[in-house]
Amino acid sequence: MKFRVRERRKPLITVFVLLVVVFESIAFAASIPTPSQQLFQFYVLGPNELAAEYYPNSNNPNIGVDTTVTWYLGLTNNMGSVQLVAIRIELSNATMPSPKDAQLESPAPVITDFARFVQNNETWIVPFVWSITNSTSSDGSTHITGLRINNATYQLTNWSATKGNNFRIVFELWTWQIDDSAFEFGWIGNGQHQSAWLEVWFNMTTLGPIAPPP
Amino acid sequence: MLILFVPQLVATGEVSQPLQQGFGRSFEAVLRAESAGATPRELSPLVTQLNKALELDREALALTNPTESGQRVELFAQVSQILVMVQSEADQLATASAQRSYDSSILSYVWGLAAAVIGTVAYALATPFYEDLRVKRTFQMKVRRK
Repeated sequence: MKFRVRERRKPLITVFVLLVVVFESIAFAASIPTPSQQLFQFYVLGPNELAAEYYPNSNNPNIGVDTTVTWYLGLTNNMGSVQLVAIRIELSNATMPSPKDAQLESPAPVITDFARFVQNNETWIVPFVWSITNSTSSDGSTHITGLRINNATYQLTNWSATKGNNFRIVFELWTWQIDDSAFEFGWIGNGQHQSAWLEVWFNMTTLGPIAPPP
Repeated sequence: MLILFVPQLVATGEVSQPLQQGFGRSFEAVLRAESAGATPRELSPLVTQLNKALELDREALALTNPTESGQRVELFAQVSQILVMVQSEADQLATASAQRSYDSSILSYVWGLAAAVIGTVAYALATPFYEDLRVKRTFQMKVRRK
């Protein structure tokens, strides 16, 4: 058997060029990051970290003064990069509009917030333990004047609901925007503005702690 | 801690404004390192430090009593120190990661070239075998009269 390279120079060069094109294309394709959907997963869970039993006392949405309610807020970053996020806590009622899906946050006043840097694919679980510390009742409206969240007490004014029904705790997800050097409601994912918010309804119809079930 | 980024809500704006810029700069440095190819494991200590700075900042903002002003200033100083350290380490990580990514891409192109050379050699070696086989088969053919 003889290696007749000179006779086969043209086909060999053709094969070499073809293989270079194929393998270098593969190397180039492998170096490009695959685009993925940029999003946050944002959820609220009950005391057992399940989507159940959000209210104490047999899941009764009537919350009395000094009744401790435990929830867990969960946030998973699927944005493809480290994100600085803030969860804003607001107390709202039936007459205040909810946040709009696209860009508008709730007009309800902010009580507090939790902020954190979250790595890509990391899940941040925030315990949210709260209770109403003070309330008053006048003209058929119930006013919540004190709220304790994670051992910090907040004095509130003008937080009321008719007959104490349909209060809402609103959780809004805000992200730090590098270009604006500010937190903004929602995030920019795949070129579009997106947002995530949660709300849990409750009634404050009993002044005083609700007795646990026998 | 969100209040840190909203100067009009902060009583001590002169302290929070540099910190706000510090958080922004450190975060940008971490993002630069990440886009340069730093792995989550490499970024993890920096993110932990940034979260520690956020916690200290929250603690400092909670100290509203005038008697605690010394402790408050001390906490802000610690936050600033952490932010400077994170920015410095993130910049170093970005440089190292960019170099590593460049080396890795060059290596992958070299591997592509090597694979092309090996493929061409294999083709050059396989072709004579194939031709010899074809010639042998031609001579082994039986011709039958119809």
